Amino acid sequence: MALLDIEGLEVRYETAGRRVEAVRGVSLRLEEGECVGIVGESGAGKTQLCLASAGLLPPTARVSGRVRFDGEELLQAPPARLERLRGAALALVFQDPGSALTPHLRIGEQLAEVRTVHRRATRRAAWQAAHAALVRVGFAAPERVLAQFPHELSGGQCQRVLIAMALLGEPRLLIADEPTSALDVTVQAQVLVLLESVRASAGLALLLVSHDIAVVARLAERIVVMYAGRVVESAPTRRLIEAPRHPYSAQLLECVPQARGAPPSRMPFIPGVPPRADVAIAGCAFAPRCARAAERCRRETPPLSGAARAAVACHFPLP
Amino acid sequence: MSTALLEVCDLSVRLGATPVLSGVSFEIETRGRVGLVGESGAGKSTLARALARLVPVSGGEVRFAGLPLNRLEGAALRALRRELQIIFQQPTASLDPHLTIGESVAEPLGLVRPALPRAARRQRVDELLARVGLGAHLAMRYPRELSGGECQRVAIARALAPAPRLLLCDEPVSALDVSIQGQIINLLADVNAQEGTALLLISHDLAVVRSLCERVIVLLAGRVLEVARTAELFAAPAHPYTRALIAALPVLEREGRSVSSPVAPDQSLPSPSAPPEASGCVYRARCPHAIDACARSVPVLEAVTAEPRSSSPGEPHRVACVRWRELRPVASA
Repeated sequence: MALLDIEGLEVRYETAGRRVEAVRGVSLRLEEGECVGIVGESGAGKTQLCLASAGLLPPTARVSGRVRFDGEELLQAPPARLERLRGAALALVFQDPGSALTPHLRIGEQLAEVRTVHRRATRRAAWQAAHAALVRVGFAAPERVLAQFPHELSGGQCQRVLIAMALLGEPRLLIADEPTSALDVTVQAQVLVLLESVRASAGLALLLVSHDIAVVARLAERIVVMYAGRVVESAPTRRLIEAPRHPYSAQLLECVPQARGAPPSRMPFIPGVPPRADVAIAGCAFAPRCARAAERCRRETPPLSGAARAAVACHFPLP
Repeated sequence: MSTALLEVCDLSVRLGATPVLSGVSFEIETRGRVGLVGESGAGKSTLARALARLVPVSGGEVRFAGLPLNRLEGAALRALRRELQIIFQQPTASLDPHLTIGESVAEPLGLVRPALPRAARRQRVDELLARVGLGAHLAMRYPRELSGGECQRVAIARALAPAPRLLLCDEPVSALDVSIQGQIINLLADVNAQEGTALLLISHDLAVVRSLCERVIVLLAGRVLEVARTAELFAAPAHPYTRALIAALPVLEREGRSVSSPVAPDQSLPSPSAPPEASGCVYRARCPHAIDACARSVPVLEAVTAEPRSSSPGEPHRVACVRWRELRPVASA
């Protein structure tokens, strides 16, 4: 049984005559201990997928489909049950580490709370666990950090604290939504190394979401490419990078700025813009930007077809 | 007589008691393309704002086309400001939501050429929109109806309205999707090549700067640590900080090779509660090569290469590190 099993997920919002389709039918499986990366541009539905996977969608969301965590259906689960899961078996790390911590509580209080609330640990045991978790994420002086407030830490330090907090619940699944996008490039590299090492040592499954395919490729065994609320391609990381089959995946890879080799005289780009989420899409959502698009692409939505671990949704995929 | 359009000499900016920029010097030639890179808190945006006279300068001098930009006032300042335009990171926030796109672009035209008849102004707006790759039909739309990339094009059209000689671009693509970034960078390259507008591209992204700029300035904690021609900076970075920045870039190696193994990152964690040293090298707390001498005085920029050849205009490669000679990797033959 897959640890996380998403089937036919649709998420939409309806406000004052506007109908926003955020996720348009996504199926995704994540096995125990596996690291899957999700890549896509803004509006692809990445964050909505993360929120659905953690039972965190707002009440205004209209949801259909299934999200099962360890066999348990999350979409209909009562809030109390979801709260018990989060912070324990299922943990999340978000993009903006500064706003994810409570500003007026010391780091130690916030970390210890994970154990006192979820494990009914004694205060002393909880503080010891918090101390150990800070050591694990690479703090040289954990005592000092325990006594500090969030504003006294840098963005990279806050993200380390949040990873420590996630680990305190001894999760089986960590969902990381753009965990390094708000960080400087040198700090980003450190956080990626840290995520890699905690995943290996704790054996946890990781759902790593980023707009940056180079970041995801560092850690993920498999990459899922999303566009306009759908999965357009899913493949093992090396396969996807070396031989993408969806024209969008191929063009996205061309756009990754290269730091090595001779710089191109023109920056590669994809013409046009992604479709707006509040406009109905006929056929393939990428067709208006795709050089390979034919009449059929503008009429029929291509289904995701192929094996479970290497599938593509395109009428005319690359060989 | 130098060909420099902009000369920044020993510029310092303080916000309250905090020094944000200390002794920054560099030049931008007429039609030049210069990149300014650095991490958050390096002072990049403050530098752009100081050049646009949006924050006061506490020391040093900025000369634009030979005139003392930081000491001009009144009509002389307004005249010079037209020559120097700025675009910001958040294109949606830099456009007035109550104005149509056409009105937004017409606004600076009205200030520069108030006598321009209505019909001629409208035609000029359409020309400017076409210049940035937007159809004239967008003139009737509002910013909220446009995508981020389209709004950034409008911001560029507005900035081009007074036909400036220098465009300050403060993180112009970092809020945009990677598939869109190339469109804007290529547009800036075209504006530079065709209109001859000089560019100062401020970015945290070395890869973006590399594709557009001829020369790169590396800034940390308000100080210039290295200046070099782009190819030389990437091929032979002389400052340990520049090397750390380049090594930290995520690399996607393709065409038969495996996905790259992680490069050992700069291990230190800068903290806002531990501001950079008031004396000595600003990188020394994070630098694996720091020695006592690094704490004693602020390293001065020294030339790594000889004076520039006539074929490569601009300043020579300079670095501010007391140990750069001994740390320099042995060049491969």
